Amino acid sequence: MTPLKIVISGPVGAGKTTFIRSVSQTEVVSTEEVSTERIGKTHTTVALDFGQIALGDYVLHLFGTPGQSRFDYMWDVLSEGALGLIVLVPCDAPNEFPQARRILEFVISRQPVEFIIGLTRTDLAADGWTAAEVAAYFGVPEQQVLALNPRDAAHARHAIHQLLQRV
Amino acid sequence: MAIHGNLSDFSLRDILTVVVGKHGVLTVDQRDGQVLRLDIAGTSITRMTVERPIDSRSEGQVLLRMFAQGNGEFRFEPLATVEAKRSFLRMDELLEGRGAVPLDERDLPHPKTMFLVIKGRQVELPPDLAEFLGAAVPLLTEGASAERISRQLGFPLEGTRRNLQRLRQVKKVWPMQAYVDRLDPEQRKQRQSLGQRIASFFTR
Repeated sequence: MTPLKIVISGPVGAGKTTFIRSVSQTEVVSTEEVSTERIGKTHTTVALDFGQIALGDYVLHLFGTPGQSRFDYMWDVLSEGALGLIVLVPCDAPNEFPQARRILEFVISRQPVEFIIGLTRTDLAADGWTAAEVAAYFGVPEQQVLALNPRDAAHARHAIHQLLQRV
Repeated sequence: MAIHGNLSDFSLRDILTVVVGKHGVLTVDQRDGQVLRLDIAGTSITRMTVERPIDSRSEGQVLLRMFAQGNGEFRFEPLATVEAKRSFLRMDELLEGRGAVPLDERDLPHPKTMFLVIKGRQVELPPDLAEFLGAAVPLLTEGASAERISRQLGFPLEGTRRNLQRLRQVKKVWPMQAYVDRLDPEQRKQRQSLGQRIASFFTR
């Protein structure tokens, strides 16, 4: 089977680990540790999350990056040779948007990788930013921003499908 | 759904970029209890109040000072239309004007983000920035990060990040996209074919 890489990135709490867990066909390898900072949750990814989807003769390897800047070397390592990048952004946490933009610009300025922005928590937050507003903030076409629920495998698969169609 | 956030995370440039073209009211609750209210109609700020109406255009600088304080919840409430008797301030003037928008630390790029110079765009730059660009343009022509420029030209890293951000504000440099177009044609063809084949599995 030919392995191919998709990277799931974004700031802390955007839903990267959840996304991979919901869509992976194998048990997810996760490197979560207890948070030593107040980041709004008890555990956070410190190296990577890893899951797989088998598709015919291919297997998609899903790599989730850590969200914090101090792990930025992992953004580079994990995105090298990737077929695509999904940057998850929580619609109701605008304080995380600058970090999401830093991650996106860091990766796409260094790796020839297609990307989409996945807008999460749209089902939970009545007053979150819309896809159009987030697209304006990131300076990308609205079609490149997709509202999704990372807990829903169908949503996650749809996001991967949308990404692959851009490749 | 509404645009909301805190000035500790967003610069004026970011907020104006998102609300430009819309009609509505942008409100900023300052820590000291003052409330700044901007009536926005398309590309214009048609009215601005800070507890009392501000009538003089020169007092528009209050806007820049308040945003530069970097704290205060903001929200934008869209309206069907905003009465536009006259344009008080043009948002594009704020966004494009040389030095009009104060440099914001929150906007500084990651040290490893690569930038490209936009050669076709002629802009008037302050002498120090023109000197920086003159030295860095060979690197920025092929794409370079603040870290690389700093290392190769011996400039302090923080100053280099600030200068790249200043150049970005006037759209003289832009984060480059190491896009798939930069792959050689054979690699690109292979990647496209692969992407389509794998995508087809999702529709079966």
